[in-house]
Amino acid sequence: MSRNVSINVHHITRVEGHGNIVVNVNDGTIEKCEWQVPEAPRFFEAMVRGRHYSEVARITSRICGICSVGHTLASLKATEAALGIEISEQTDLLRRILKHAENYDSHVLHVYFLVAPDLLDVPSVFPLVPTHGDVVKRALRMKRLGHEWGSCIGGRTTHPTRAVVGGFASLPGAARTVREAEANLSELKDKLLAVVPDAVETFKLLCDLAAKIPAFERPTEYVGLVDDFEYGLYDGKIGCLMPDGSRELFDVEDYRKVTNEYVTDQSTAKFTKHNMSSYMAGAMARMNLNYDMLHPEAAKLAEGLGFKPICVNPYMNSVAQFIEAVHSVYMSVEYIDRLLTKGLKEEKPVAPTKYERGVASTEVPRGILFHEYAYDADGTCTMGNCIIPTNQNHANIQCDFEKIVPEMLAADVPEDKMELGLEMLVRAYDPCISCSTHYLDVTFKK
Amino acid sequence: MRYLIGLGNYAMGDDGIGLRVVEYISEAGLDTGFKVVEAGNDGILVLTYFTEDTERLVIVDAADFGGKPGEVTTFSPEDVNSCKQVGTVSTHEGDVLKLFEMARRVGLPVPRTDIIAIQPARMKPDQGLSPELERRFEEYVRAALTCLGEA
Repeated sequence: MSRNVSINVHHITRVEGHGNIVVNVNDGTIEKCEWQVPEAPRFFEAMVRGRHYSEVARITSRICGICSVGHTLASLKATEAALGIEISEQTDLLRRILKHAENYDSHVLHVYFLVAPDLLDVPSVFPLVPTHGDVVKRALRMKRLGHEWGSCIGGRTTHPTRAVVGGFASLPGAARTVREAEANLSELKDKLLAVVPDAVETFKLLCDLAAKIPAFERPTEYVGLVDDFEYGLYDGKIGCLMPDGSRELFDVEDYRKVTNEYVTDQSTAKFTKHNMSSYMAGAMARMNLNYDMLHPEAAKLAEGLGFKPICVNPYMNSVAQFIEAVHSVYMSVEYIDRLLTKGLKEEKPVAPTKYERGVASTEVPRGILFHEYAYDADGTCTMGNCIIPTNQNHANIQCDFEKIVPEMLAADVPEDKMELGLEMLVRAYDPCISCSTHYLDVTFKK
Repeated sequence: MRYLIGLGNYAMGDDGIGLRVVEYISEAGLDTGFKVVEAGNDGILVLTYFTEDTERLVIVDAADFGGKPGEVTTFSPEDVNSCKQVGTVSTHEGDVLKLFEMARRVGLPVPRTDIIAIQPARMKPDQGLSPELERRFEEYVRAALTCLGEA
């Protein structure tokens, strides 16, 4: 059909950072169809050079205010690999609980505050108060749990202070004794179990709204961690799943074989690709790769919401995030039980045994994350490389645009609906394009 | 329950003052009778404390109120007009005063709140505080504890 379309979304809302959607159609011909990232580079890899190993995670945590736990953990693990440090089982389990806290916290924020407004036809979550006050209060309640969960283990949910190279600087809940720390973990477990009714209500809400999730499909490659210990999140090998179900595994040290970063004119952020023209990272990729490792309670919800691997509808990423949030609750309860059964111990962080090069990967809410560092004999960082998941999703968003825009034109979708559909698609990826800071500016009333 | 909330960004010089004050109070074990929340830039997290069971909020943040660098003042959200141009509340950009407007508009319970505002000297990428704020750090801690009735 011959028609003209001009979509120019300058800085899409309800995502972290700045991205543009540009679609120009002239007399039925697509002249431009782009996902653009105009953010300035931030040079974190240069900032860590010349810094002591004890400072590096503190700096790279600042790459993101939402995924700061994941950046901290990936950074610590890479440094520990470079420094020949083997952490204790207690540290491993506490870090896994911390990772689950971040995953839950970010997913609740995204599903309730950034995605739900689209499904409920409102511009943000707050206009829902008069009609859906219970939903808003539930969202705030669930969000607060994420903060309390992460703070108990990490000291803070954003930019955790207790997780350090070789272990933890202090016990959960800033406890001064082991007994106090165990009581803090027990209290956290009670809070986690108390959120189950809210999770059930969220499940019902999503079931009611499921028909509003666009039915778009584009098979792609899915990349995420695969771990023998649990659903790939904190650690593991790099799993690459093709739409036909075939999969490859790579050691984390070989991450460059998968990421293959390249530059493109439409973006200041690098794009990535592996076996296909793009790949997807994030909750949906993880669930496609790790579905059998979901906690049984989370698997029940996945079934109820119609999520079946291999899911190829990117809009379902938000559904996958909710399922992961529930998985994180139950897995953390299990880890707390394991720690309490064994009994916590006062542990000092493990010291370095060498100073070389190390690579590590941790999943953050938006997908697989890689950190790599090299250190000299004084423990000073000489090289850093960080590949974040949103960069890995840019090419996949672009490829989705190239399939969905012709489909929308063929179906004669009105321009405003096209624009909303493309915004929802970008939001489904939960892109975390950058972080910055601002402060109060006030005048006193006379 | 009473809460002491620290706002700001550690990596932007004096913008981190709110976080540093509440972190100090927590690490020194001075948080008796109230809970410390290190909220960073997460305005939505602050909103989660707008509940019936919150008796009192004290927020520590950097603020440009036209004072001298390092000067501290305490006000309630009703005492001031915000001059900041922010579209909405997000984890990317925020204005805590907008949270109070929003909470009232949508009918969330707004707890009694005091904001301890510290005039920054230096707002730029920096892991440390300016000398002006560093010198008066104890004063900010005392102001927070006094506000909560703990000093």
